[in-house]
Amino acid sequence: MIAAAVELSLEGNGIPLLQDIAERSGVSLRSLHRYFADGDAVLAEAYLSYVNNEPSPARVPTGLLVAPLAERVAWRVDERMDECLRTNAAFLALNTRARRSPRLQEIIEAHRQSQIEVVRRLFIPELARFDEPERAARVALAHTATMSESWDNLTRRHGLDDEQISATWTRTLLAALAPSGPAVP
Amino acid sequence: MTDTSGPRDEIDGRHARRERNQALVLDAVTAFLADGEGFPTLQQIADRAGLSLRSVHRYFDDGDAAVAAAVVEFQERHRDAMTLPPLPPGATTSDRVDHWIGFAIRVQVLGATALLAATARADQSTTVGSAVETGRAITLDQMRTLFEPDLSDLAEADRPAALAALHCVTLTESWDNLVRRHRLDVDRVRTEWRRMLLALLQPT
Repeated sequence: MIAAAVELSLEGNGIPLLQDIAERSGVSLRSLHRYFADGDAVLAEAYLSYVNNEPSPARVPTGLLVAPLAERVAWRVDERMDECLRTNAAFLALNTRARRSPRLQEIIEAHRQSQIEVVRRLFIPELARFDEPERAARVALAHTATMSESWDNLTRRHGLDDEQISATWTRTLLAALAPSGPAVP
Repeated sequence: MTDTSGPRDEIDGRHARRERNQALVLDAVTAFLADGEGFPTLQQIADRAGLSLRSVHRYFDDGDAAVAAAVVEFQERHRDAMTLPPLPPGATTSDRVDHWIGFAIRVQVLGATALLAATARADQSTTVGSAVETGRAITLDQMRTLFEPDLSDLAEADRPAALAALHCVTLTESWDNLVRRHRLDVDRVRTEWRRMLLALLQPT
């Protein structure tokens, strides 16, 4: 049922109707109604099933937290690249549907916040060097650096390959976390 | 008093009315997108424009056609604001970065919400997608031209990724994330974008 909902959504059917999901999945509408109130609810579950395997703050390996910056950046870049390869098309499609679905919006936003927490946890030593409000700005930049929309831009508009994306994200993340130097004239 | 109006005046009148109504529709779509209210239906567009659904149908087949036309019209109307002014000769990297960031922030303040709303529809409508991507390609071309002196200092193989990195920093989606989700103010965005662009333009 969930797979059918995602398929329909990716085919451009917006928030699919339960009837369409029933037909696609071969499950009766009555059975479907037993589990979900509407197509929005199925999509919400579909999205959760996608993100369940993505890193949450709790999943950042504890040993990694004391590793050198380069290692932590590499972990973050690898994780995000892996996620984007697996789920970015679905994520961006569902994200656009979320504009019409407060429930989907809420779930996606919770996931985004969880990604921000990963950044905060992974880069504690670097972020600790900054006072507010600069610290908040650095978190924002580090989060923005590997957003799904960045992946989309790099692959679709710029045609970069995996190696180039990895190098680009590494460089951007390091720039986001770099100590403030003297003002460049 | 003699009525001097004839077929020509009638045609002119119809033409003027058509233009006026089309402008009302495009204004309604732009306002809809700028308010972040999502993608409008033709009925919503008609309500907002103060026209009948039938009138709107006369000009646009569906919401996609109206949004695509509104995107193009928005780009035309704000052509000056969306065109990067030239820099005087002798400009430095720092000048170019400041120039770009000033321009990018003006463009984002002007149209980010509307662009994102249209982009959200782009994967379901080639008409909307094409209008959105044309505008984005123009912006990217302006960035490429501005930073050509800096990019040409890099190894040729590194240039595409360097341009892509610069582009990602000031992308509309990045602006939206920084301002809406992380609540950075415009001055903070300006400062951080400046720092990021200068860092990314340093040779590795």
